[in-house]
Amino acid sequence: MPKERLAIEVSQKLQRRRSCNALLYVPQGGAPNFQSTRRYEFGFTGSREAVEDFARRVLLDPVSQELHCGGAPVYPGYAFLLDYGMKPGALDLEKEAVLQFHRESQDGSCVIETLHITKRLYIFRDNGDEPSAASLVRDIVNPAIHSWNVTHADRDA
Amino acid sequence: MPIATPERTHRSIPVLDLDGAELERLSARMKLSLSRADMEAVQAYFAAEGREPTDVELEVIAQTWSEHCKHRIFGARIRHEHPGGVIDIDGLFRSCIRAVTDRVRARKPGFVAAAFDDNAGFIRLDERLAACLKVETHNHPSAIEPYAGANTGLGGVIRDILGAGKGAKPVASLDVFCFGSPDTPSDSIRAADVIHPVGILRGVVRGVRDYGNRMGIPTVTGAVQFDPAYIYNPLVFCGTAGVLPLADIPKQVRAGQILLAIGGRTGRDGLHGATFSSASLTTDSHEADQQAVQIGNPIEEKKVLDLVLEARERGWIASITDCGAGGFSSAAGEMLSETGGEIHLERAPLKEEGLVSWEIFLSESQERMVIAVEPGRVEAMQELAEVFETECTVLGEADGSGRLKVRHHGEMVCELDCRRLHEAPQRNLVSRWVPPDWSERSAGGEAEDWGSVLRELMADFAVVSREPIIREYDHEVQGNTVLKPLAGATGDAPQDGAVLEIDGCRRLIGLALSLLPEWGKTDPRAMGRACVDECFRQLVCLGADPERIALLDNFCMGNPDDPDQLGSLVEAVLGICETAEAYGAPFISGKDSFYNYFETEDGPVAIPATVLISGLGVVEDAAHVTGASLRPADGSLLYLLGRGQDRLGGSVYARRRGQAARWRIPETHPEEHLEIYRRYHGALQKGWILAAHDVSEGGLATTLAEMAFSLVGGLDLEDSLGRKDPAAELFGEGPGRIVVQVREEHAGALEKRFADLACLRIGRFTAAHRLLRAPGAGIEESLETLKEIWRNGLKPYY
Amino acid sequence: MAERAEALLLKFPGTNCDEETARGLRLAGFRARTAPVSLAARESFDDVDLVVLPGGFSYGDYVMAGRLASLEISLRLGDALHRFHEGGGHVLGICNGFQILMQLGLLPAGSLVENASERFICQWVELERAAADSPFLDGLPDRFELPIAHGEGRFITAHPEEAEDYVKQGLAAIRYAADVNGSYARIAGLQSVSRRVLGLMPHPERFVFARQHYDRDWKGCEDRGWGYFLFRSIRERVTGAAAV
Repeated sequence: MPKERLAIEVSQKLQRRRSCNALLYVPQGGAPNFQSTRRYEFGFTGSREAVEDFARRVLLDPVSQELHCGGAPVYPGYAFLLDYGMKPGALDLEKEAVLQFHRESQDGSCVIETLHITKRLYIFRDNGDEPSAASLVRDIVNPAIHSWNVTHADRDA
Repeated sequence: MPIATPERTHRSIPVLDLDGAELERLSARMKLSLSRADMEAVQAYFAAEGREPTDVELEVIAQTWSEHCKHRIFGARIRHEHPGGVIDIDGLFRSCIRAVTDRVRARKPGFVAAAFDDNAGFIRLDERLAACLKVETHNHPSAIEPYAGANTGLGGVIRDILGAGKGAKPVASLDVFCFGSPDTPSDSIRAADVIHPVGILRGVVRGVRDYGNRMGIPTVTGAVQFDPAYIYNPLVFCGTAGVLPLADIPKQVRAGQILLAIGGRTGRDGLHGATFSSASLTTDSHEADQQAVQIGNPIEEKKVLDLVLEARERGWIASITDCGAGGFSSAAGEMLSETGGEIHLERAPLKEEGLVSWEIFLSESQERMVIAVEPGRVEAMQELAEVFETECTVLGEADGSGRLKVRHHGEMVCELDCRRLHEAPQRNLVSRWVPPDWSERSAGGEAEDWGSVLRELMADFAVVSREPIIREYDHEVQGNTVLKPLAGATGDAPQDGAVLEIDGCRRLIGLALSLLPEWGKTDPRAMGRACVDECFRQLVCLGADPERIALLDNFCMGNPDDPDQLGSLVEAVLGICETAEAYGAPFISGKDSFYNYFETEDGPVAIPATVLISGLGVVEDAAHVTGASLRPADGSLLYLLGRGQDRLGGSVYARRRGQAARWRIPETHPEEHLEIYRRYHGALQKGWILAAHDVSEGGLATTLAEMAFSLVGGLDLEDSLGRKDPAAELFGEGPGRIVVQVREEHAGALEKRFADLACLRIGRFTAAHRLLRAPGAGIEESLETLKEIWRNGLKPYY
Repeated sequence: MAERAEALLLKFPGTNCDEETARGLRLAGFRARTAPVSLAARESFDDVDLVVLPGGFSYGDYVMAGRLASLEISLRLGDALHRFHEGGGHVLGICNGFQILMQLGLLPAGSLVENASERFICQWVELERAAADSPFLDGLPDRFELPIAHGEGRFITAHPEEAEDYVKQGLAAIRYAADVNGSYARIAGLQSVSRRVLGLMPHPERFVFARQHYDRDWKGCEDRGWGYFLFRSIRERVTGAAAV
């Protein structure tokens, strides 16, 4: 059976935009603002609805969180996205715990074969200057454990 | 599900016909880190065996003889040159550190239950129980990935305790860090690939938090040193204390017993040689780059802990050890060192396919331990492992052959003589120590506004409250932390260490530590002496009986092949030994870390020889735990026990005036100090002491302010205090001093008790105000203000 | 009612406050035993008066605190805990246990999320007894202290007014005297409509002896701490002894 993919994004209802200085080792004047979400990318066989149901049941807290499917940006108007997560050789404890529970609770409707969890930072252009990805990347990710991706917004969109 | 292994799992490496240069090249090519002399010893061994070694055997020998496992610098013959002449030291460990322990053990029979021959040393608590402590460093991994480095560091030392005796119960952890200053300007860091001190600080603290809190082991004490010397080489010490019945300390593997691997699986993640570059940090990472540093899995380790403690209580464990450096090779090698035996690598549960023999045998994957049990217990152990939801696999058996035999799918991939495996050639080194050009400071010094100096020191990174870090650690899980790292009437005033109750025991244990790297930069021997004094004195202040204190030594330094750097280390070792012996405080465990230097754009930067002394003391009664915070006893008196000195070298005051390395370092007078501690303890037993705090960084004035931070009242200090030489009297950091608070009714008795010793009445506690008043030095400071300065110092950075 | 009160502590991989909680319960007169969840069959709750979910980090608390443990309970024990409660049993969840009870739906709707400070917080806090009718709090004064130690203890509801309603309805059994973690209505502990389920973030098991207090001069009730009185209250209630 061919493996299918499903990506969901979970945002925190109580989270507000705030300064990237919280993420930097040396505060910068005019640092941009950010918001963050978590992205879960499943590789699975079987029923897509069953995977989505599993995600809602296991990953989502309906009181404090919202689940987004479909891939549209949760926070539009960003300058760029920084996605980062554990690289393939690094232990991702949350992923292991989720997959372990999936194996225990399987009812045959779907088999989740892979899961890639990343944190997504939406970086905004709030404080004038075009924010620099380089300085953020340097303080936030570590090549010893992370893989990451910077995606700039399409300025014309 | 068995995971397939490749067909050829090992290979033969010809060494018998190689000359010295070729042997050296082979060592370099295989990254064995063995010297030419080592390789020649290896060659001789296999010449005697009449065959070529396998890659597995070479890896095992390299691991066994590595600095990390064999402590070859501390075992080396050293010719040391110092102002008093030249001395020859036949092993710093054997002839200095262990010699002190041996002599103290002879003087105090029964106190030390075990030292240096297990994962951790033990002291006797009562007729039934013993306590142990172990401290490890995890410097290089923490520099590369602070979070993962710190959490695997803590995980490793916890396993050391679980593998001490037949499985000690971890009861508390301590963590000590040396970092660059949090306000280090980014552009002053002269190398790529170096993480800013704030990044190191945050990552390391969170690593300790997420591992320690999940393990349910309270992190009760620690220290952070901020010094530019550690920007490129941060130091991370993780320590754990444990408790074990005395009867479970001896362990022995007998022929016929089964070796079980428990806990996590074995994978490539634990193999050496991982290097990472951040050269491409600004772009996306390459998905293909799979190599990563190890991240600890605290829940896996918690399950191992639950299993080990339950199995030990049921009496099922014959022997146990952790898989640390060297993985199965060192764990199995250690357990089979007497009997010999056979290991079957295909039985080891693996994380991934395709591991060859040496990778399985040497992998340092986390959260694994090896247990020896009687054959009849195997099934029961496996059932118990299922209860705790972890794995337990038969790995091999002990057979009485005296040889370490490793098979992979039936094929012999390693067969070594257990005893000869540990016979690494002794190294020869030279060291030298030349005293710097000290200058005497003129007594009295420059007049300053001493109140503003006090405020300045309370805000110094050396002194400011560690509260933002401490609150991230669960320091009360297990419910036994009687003296917490922050206490006093407001629950946020600093203490001298921590005191823990022990389940099933009337006695308690105190934990404290000391490091003074600033002193060591100019006078490493004085640093060594003073570190032992400070740790010992803190334990006395915590309520420990001065006759029942044991110490640990942890050393970190740069390049041991540099005679000057090694000379500092030798001096520090001599210093700690002098004071420890005078105090009758044995070393029960220790560890060392070398090559803490870094190539920057401006050349190599090495750390100053750094010693951490940590200690474990027996507290007879919970009533002896007074804490360091002033008690609301109106009219009570404050005394300074111990003599002040006019030397200000190494002090925070001197550092801020750029004189730390020029002024002389204070002296330690062990006999005099010990007498004070003994009499102090007698006064404590009589119930005279309301509070006691050691004088350390920042000197007497900050000590007094810290004592008053519970804000139950103020201090009126004697007119004479700080009149003659305010800098030395108020901000000098000389050893051997304790400030005590006693009720007026006990003042006469206290003075009498200390009549022939330094015991100075320095002031009076009053409920009438919240000020620190030292009229002799013109100081009148609001305690609330001082406390705010002190409490907020670290907040912007953590 | 039983002569001797029976308490059963459920232990998950990562539960780490079970020993001191059992100690506190025994001190208050319970017979307490701990069952690893792998052994906790459905019948384990027979003859039990109080089921306790102690503190810790069940399954690492990955995803969110208490989530995986609550799913495991449903998977392994079905609705046994709900039936135990409906049959008149008492349930106590401390810290991680509170988080699990919230996920299981044994308490009024809401969630325990990351502290507003985004930090783990280990410190002592002043608390208010906010419900007069909790069988767990009979023996406690209107104000008392206990230590907290959590990263995810901020109690929230879908709308802040719901939390205020819990206070009015007497469901908010314990409140922080001052805001420590951003909890709505300063809620530190919740009880069920039946009053037989209590979940709280503070750790009563860490303050059963007076000497466990941070202040050497703390004047409490002889040599006992407030946590002891919480355990004793529920013990007296289930054995039908005095103190009602």
